[in-house]
Amino acid sequence: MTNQYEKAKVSDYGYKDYSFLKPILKVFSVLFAITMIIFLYLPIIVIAIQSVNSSKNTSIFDSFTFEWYLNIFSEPDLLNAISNTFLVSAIATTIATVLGTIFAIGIYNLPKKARSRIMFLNNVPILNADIVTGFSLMIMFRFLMIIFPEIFGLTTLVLAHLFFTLPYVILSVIPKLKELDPNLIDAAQDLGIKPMKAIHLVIVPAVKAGIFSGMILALTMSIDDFVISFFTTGAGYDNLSIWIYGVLGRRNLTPSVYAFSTLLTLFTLISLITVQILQRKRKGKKK
Amino acid sequence: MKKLVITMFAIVAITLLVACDQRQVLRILNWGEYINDDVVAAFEDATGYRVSIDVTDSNESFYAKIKSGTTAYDIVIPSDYMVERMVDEDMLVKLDYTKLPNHANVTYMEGVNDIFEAMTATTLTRTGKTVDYTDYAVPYFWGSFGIIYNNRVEGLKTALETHGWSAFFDPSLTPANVRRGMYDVPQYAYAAASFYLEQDINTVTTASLNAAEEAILQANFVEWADDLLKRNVESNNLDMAFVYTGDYLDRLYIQLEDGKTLEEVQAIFDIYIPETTMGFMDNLVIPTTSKSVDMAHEFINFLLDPEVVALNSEVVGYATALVEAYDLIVANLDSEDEWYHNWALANLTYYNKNATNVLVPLTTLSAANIDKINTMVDNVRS
Repeated sequence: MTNQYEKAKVSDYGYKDYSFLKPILKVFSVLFAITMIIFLYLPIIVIAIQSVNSSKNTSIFDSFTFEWYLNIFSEPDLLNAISNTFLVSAIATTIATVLGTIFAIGIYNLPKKARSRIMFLNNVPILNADIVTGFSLMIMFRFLMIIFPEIFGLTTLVLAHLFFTLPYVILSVIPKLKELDPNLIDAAQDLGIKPMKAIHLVIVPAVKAGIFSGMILALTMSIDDFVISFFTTGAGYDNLSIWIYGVLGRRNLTPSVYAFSTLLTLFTLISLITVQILQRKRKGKKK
Repeated sequence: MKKLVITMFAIVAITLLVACDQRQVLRILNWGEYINDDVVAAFEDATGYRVSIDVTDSNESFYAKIKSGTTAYDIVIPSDYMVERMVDEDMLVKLDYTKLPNHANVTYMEGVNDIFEAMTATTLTRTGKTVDYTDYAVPYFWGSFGIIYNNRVEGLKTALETHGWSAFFDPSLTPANVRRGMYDVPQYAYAAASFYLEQDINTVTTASLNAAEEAILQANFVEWADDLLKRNVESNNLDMAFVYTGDYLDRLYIQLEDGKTLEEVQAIFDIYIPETTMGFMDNLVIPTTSKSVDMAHEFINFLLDPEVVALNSEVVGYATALVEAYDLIVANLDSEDEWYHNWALANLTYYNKNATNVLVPLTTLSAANIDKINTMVDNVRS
């Protein structure tokens, strides 16, 4: 017996054929990707080119030179700003990594309700606008000034950077802790190790990757911070971003700034690639 | 991991060792690239102090950084109107001239004295008080404002020289399609328009605001910017703009360094300084928050030495405040060195001590009046 009804088409079920859009969307997505890449990467390339241009005039490329790279070391103000930046970031990152790891282990071992409350508090500095953080920290530090009149400068900068990098370290360590076998520390203690040593010898090596990525995150956040540093620094303590901002006022930037920016970009690129390679190696081993 | 921790501690340790400097620190807040490092080094060698310089980008920021009380600078370098405001609010230390022996041997340039007098005059009309600003401030650099122009446009130079401010604001007086640029500071735009309208740049009334608005509309500025103005005139993307004379010299010196002569650069772009124009003066002042007023005096005294001042202006490019330093610079006219020769020539041309220009500094306006100017300029720009 043959069916006398007409065979239903997909369109009868409400399906609409949009496949003709596919090539258009494809073109659009490619165009979009190209535009994004140009907008994001062209400025970096321009700065890199400018850093090897012998003319201070940005509109003319004169000849190739490494002069500006050497000049970084003969411009006292720039050098001072760079060393301040690295000093603050190194201290803040070191403290943040150590404290963050300890905090993360502590938070992870709290009862669930308390843990989520603490994590909420931990997320506030991350989500808060930089300008609010900077300004409120400045007000807090001003209260401290009554007891420590010299506090503005290195101390306040490190404290401020600690304030916004610490949550990131905690955030990147906790997921690694979740991956651990919850009985690991008990097992270690059963084997006769003391609690502190168990953390040091068992937990920390196990979450090393999390600590490391937290540290890198803290370092990069700290090096390029402008808004919070601007409010919390004191006399005689400009970091690089504040210095660049100040210099832009009346005069041209010295091309050494381009040179340093290029170096910093290269440094970031190289560390990112190294992390990638390391991770790939580790994954390879697991297999 | 361990290696990274070690390197990090090493960075901290090394920088801390470098920072562990037993010398006394003189803290200065300055504009960017506004001092010759050789001058700083010479001062450090002569006194054994360490000079720490921070930079900032506006007078308002000088004010904020002192007012906040979180900083303790020994010397700051704000401009005329900000000095007025700081004196008004008792933020500055009165200078002790017995600690500035070099002051007895120098004479300020005519223009500098004019600006000091103008500051006193505007304060008198504003508050009814007579303040001698030399009690608080020693001039650092000063300068005029002018109209930078593209000399590749036929007839522009003649138009500016015959009509002055009118050529800048009235398109019918210049060759057609001349592209004009304006500093994106509303108060500067208002001041420029006021010169054209021959009204007081420091008085704000409804009538003067309306007139200025019309003038700015008529000029039809195609670009509002700061640093970019001079570069765009230089690279033929703009034909006229209201800028610091020092801005022009800044670009000029870069071109000279590239081997061009003064005439060659002038043929490309030049600056016209009107008969009556805006002037500014940056001053060395000591804020009351300073931790070492004596050290600050020593530094100011050092900057009253004509040779030091000449050395300083070699890098900075604005007009020197001391007649003696000006004479030293101009004496380079016979120099064998091309750069020094051109430098002297540029000073003779653009900062001549016998120039008869009338320089009018801005004064501190009330917040309400600044608001009115900002709204007016915003209206034109939108």
